[in-house]
Amino acid sequence: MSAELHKTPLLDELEKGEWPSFVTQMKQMAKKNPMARDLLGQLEQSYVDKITHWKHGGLVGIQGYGAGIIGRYSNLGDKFPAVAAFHTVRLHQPAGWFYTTKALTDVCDIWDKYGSGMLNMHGSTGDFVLLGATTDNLEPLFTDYLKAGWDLGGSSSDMRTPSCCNGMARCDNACFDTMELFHDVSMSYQDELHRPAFPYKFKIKIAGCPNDCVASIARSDLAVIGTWKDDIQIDQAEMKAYADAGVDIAGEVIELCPTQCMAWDGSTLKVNNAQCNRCIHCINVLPKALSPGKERGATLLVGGKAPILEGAQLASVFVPFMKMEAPYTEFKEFVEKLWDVWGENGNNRERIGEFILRVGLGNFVEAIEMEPDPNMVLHPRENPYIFYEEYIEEGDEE
Amino acid sequence: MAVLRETVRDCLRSKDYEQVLYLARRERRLVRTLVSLLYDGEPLVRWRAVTAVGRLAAAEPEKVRPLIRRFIWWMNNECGGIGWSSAPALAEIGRMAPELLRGAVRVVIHFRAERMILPGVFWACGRLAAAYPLEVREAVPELTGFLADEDAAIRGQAAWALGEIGDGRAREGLTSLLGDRELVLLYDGEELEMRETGKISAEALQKISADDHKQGRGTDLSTGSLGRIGGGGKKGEVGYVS
Repeated sequence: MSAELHKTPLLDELEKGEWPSFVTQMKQMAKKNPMARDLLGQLEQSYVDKITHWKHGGLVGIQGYGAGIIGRYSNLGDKFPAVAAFHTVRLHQPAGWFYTTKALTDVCDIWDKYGSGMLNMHGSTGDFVLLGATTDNLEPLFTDYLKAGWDLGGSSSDMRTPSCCNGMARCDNACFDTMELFHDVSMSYQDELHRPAFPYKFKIKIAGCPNDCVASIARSDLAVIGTWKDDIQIDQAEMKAYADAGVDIAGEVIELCPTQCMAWDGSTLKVNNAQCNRCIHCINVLPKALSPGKERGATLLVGGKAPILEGAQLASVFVPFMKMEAPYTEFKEFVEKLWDVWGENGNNRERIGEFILRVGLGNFVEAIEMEPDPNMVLHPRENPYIFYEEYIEEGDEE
Repeated sequence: MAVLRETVRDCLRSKDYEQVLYLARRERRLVRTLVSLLYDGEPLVRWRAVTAVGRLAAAEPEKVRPLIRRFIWWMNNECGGIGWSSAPALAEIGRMAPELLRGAVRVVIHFRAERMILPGVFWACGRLAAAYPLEVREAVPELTGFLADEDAAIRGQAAWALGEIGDGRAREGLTSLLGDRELVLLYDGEELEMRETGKISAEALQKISADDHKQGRGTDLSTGSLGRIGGGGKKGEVGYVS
């Protein structure tokens, strides 16, 4: 290979300023990898032309798998031959993104051997995103990753790689073991992950508490968010200690409570737990004094997604409270019912949230054999011309 | 779900398609399971899942109808999927339930955009030859061109398809492959077998000759063009203007 780098006057501008620059990192790799060198050249050309030079996707993959590799081809292959085929490989992350240095070294060594040497950590599904492999190198790199204990992540119309916060490993608020659920789901649904059979993608994200650090409610088809059923635990002595230390409990906690369910008389905190909506603000501000209740589990919400076809949607509550303990039988039954109904009736490229919008929440709830629950209502009805026949008939009889 | 998948996998290994159809009537997850087996790591299971999809299309077309758009999408997917078996599955649907595929058959036959799934597309052309003779014969010149491809799987599947189609225009190209010793994995609708590309070509040439003989055509059709319905053959069949 020629060690000479392409001239990149426009990209060079991105190296100026206070922040680390991806251009600088790519230039480092370009000294030893021709793919990185030509990627810089093509990117500079894109800045000049003000258009991407990646062609439409392209189908590539591993035999036995229907997902995990995203095909990418350059339309400037003659000029930048090293990136003519520059496929992305998704590598399934471990629960909570905990790695040993040996594991990380293995990933990078294999990627240096077969790919561009460049990667993102992590993609929005949590995977390693390994950027740039040729078609011929896909099978050998996959074999090496398997030998080293790794596997591909999800893509296409499959169950995408689940993701979770690192829950009990680092956080007192975790209401269940998010990492154990993540691992269990991933291992239980290997076929759903690697062999697309759904109408479209299905994402499961797992958060240990209502802070929802993985933003599951906004970007997953099934959000599992830790919660508690009983009363917030209060250590009144610690409350007093916070007050003595100068914390403005009334201003920073009581007045900010969205349901106004708390009272503070200067020495004792009282909570009307029936009114608490689990916003978890008070626990965040006063972590030594307050903690989630003892009866812990998760709320399951369905239908969230980022905007593609129907615009962004937040997930809706389907199961207000479910115990989350291995082997997660109740959880899996729920997941599989969702897949049964949506998998059978969903349109091509229709996310489950869009499907629910199309068929109506009531019909969907009936189809998955759940009892309607007031928690499923997004907001009070706004159409006065809906009549509840059963209700009217009961009234007539009276 | 894993239990159902293993059950179906066993059915496919033993070619017990009746049991698969029976399960399809009882288990709503059967279709999804079958679709996922189209990617199975065991090649024979993968191919027999293709056969099973076709049989299901004949027995219960409404269960399969929604899959047609999905399979076509997976042949054009831009979000990291690859429909290894999409074209073969569509072919079996078209072969066993021709009406289901009528609006999409040319999409399958003329698909050339993705090299990795071209062998499956060519297999589909061969399997659709009887149900859609007119449409499939449109693809003969292109298929013949792929006989010189650098990839043995593409050459071999194209040669096999041309034999199934039985079109004399492929004779010259097939003859040039007779010495090709590279091996190709070929599914005949029941079994998988490693075959030499040259032998596949020889058999294809024999089929073309047999078809010519059956239809009373001359033997030299290398310059023949697609002609009118019924010309030289039985009423309703494709013939050639010689």
